[in-house]
Amino acid sequence: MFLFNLSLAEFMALFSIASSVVIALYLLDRSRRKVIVATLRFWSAARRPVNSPTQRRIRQWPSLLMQLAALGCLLLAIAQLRWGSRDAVGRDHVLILDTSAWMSARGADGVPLFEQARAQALAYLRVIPASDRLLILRADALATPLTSFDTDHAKLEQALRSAQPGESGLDLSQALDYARLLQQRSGRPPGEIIYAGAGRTQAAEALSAPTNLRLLPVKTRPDNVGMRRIGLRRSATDAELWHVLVSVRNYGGRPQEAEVAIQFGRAPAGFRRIPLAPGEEREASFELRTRAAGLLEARLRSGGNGLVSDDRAVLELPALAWIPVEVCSDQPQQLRPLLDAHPNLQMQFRSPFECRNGQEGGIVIYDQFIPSAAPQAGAVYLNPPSAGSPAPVRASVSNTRLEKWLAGHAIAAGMRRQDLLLDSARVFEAPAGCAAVAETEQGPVLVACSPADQPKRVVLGFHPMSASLRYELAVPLIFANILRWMQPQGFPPSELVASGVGHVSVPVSSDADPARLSVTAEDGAALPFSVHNGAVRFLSARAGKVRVKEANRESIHSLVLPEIPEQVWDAPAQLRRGLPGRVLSSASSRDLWRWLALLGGLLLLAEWLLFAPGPSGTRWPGFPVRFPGKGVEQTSMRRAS
Amino acid sequence: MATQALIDRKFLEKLERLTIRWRKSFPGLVGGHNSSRFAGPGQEFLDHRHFHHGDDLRAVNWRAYLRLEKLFLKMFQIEPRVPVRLLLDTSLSMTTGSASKFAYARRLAAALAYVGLVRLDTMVIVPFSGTLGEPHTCSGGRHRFSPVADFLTALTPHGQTDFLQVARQFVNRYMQRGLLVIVSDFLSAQDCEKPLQYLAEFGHELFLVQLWAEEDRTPPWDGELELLDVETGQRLNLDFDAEARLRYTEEFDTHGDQVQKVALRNGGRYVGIPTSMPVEDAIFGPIHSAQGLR
Repeated sequence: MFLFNLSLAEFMALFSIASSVVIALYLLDRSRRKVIVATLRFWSAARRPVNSPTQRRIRQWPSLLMQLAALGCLLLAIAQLRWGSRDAVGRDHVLILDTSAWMSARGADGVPLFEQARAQALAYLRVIPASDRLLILRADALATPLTSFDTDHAKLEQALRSAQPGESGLDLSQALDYARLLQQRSGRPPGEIIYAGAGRTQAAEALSAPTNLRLLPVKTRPDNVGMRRIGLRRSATDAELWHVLVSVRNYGGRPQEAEVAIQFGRAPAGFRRIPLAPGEEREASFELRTRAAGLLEARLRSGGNGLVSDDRAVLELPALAWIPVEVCSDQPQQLRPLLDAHPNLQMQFRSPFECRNGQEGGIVIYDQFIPSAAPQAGAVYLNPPSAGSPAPVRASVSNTRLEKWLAGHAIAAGMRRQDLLLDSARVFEAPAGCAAVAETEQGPVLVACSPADQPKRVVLGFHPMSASLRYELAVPLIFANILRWMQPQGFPPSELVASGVGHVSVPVSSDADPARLSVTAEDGAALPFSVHNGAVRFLSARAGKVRVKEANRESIHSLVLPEIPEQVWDAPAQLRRGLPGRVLSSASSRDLWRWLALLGGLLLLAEWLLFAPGPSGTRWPGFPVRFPGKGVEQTSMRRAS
Repeated sequence: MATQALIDRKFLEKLERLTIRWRKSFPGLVGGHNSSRFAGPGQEFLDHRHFHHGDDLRAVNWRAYLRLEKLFLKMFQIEPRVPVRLLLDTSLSMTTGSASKFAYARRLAAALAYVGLVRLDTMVIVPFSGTLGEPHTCSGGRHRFSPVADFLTALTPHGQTDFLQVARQFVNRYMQRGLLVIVSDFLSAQDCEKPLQYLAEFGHELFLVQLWAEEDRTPPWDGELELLDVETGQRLNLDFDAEARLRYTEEFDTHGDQVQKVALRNGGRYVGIPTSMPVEDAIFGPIHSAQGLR
């Protein structure tokens, strides 16, 4: 006989508390007998002071004992008292099936690790008792139940056979925690947590195994050499030159020699041969010169190649686009150094009289004058005259300092200086829809406008090449930020990375609105994400490109390689391993809670009838009864007259 | 239905041979069944007295005048019709106890009313608690008993007993003296002796029927008690044991004796009846013995 829902200590604690409440109620309510009498005048003569007002006695022991017995029965029913052995009760097991990318690897016999794990799981399914329930948990980067707790072996077997390995790495710690949680909430005694897999997991050294964990290990250890990461970085001195780095790792236990080859536009672009010791990771570097967009493909060939999916990766390289910039100035020699630093600018210098107002698109820069016609492209006004200025001029000041930058605006990115001296400057009134990016004590001197249906405008109330600013390092940065803000597509990322699937964190601007963010997979499906500490975090369980869209920018993440953790979990020796012996549940436990609940109810009913009857209740000598229409208890004593 | 609920048929048949008796001599018209010391137009000779101017010449004893040459007047004994009033206690104190005193009192009042109706007495049943309730007058034979039973069945206990107020109202409402039967437990917060004495001094003949439940006289409980006065709502906590029970019973009996003294001192009668005694036994036992009925 045992308690199914509660431990004995829990039951005793609950019973003690409930009994204390019942006894306290008795002492408070029933220790003094309540009697209704015709008059109190004769009682005064018989009055004797109460011995001890604080000492109360229980007068209705049978009633109290019946209530305590009923309480005990009901608590036992809640605790599900069962007749029989605890072992005869069906338990709940959780089978963690490793579906990480590494399980696709094949051993020397050519059988994938996942097939071995699946065979072990099916064998386990056949030996568990019929009364035991099993839940199958699919574990890779995110643990997901394939079934609920079920005793239907056909259904469980079908779920096992339909499972396939994914492309993300295993997070066994998360899967074990989830399995424990599922067992706690199942409502039945927890059985075993079974792990069927190769044990290649993240944070293997910090893994704590539960005591009821059983391992169904995959004995095969395949040899594999695979790419882990491909990184591309544009050269700082030559915009057309890409530095390509390919990380390669030997996962096997034998030395291997890997051959890494890259192609761009299906044309060979490089080849390296890398010797790798067991567990060693090395990088192969290449150089690729191109200005055009195209596909960069990296291929790997080695002797131990248990996993195919990490032998090839493809990245999409963006083109280095030209940005037409028309500079309308009487003194082009002053502005040329500022613009020459950008390799993708296609500059045309014209005098103000020949200015075409950006008819070729791109950006037009007006140096200290106002054009007669409206610009056709994004316009930068350098120290415009007061009459006709795009931003109304409030005042002209001299010898003032830039003191304030609009944090969060792209033009002010990286700007910290608060002591830039301006020989002379015009202070603007920031029009509606425009942002005051830089301000002096007197007001804004740099205004950026982005009207809804018109090209962007930037108005500087000072000349960047004036005597005081000419040698300031902040000036080229301001100008670069202005160009990047006006033509973001002309400044493609200078770094590209192809990495493994799994958890990804992408930095976004600090004021990014989560409602305007979107993360989509290659097939257009939206991926769930969270924004935390200025970064978008999401999980991609499949290889492919993931697009992160912000308000006016988009970043593409090539998650093309499978995620393969570096470490293999070294499970403690005391854990159970292999298939258990066949467990037979010959004895069955009998559930007694219905009978106990019935008995408890009957006891309460009997107590109520005997000690607190209703209008037609039986009156027992000496016990309180209720008279009709009075609602107050009186005492009945039948005596022979 | 009401008749059957109060008194069964066999009991009614037994009541047929009874008559309500009173001891006092009341003036009144002929038609009663109890003799009176007051002279009147009766058949049975009572006494002689000197003739006074204005007396009826038909009553002059002419034989005595011829012999003695003095005018003597013959007086005759009469049996006057005397009103019988029955005060029925309907206060809440009548509801306490295992056997309801109120139900017992209603059955007893019904029996007395039936006896009166059979003997063609005029009965006035007046319920009371704090004040007098609406009376029910009945007379004219046994076939008038059904309304009486309905009236008694419709009564419900309520209120707090106030004998002094009741006595005042009674003497104001009923000027003609007669037999006054009071069926009550005589348990109230105030003393009832003075109001009863007041009624007796007004000229009514008291016939006091005191009812009590066994618990009223001998409380069966022991230990700590929380007592609630059903009429006043006052509470009293005390320890109760056998010794206290003796003192209580003694007090209760003293109270009964005082009520009895009031009745006997004024020429009335007193009957104490526990509710454990059947009504039939009470009628043919204590009440008959006290010559309330004959």
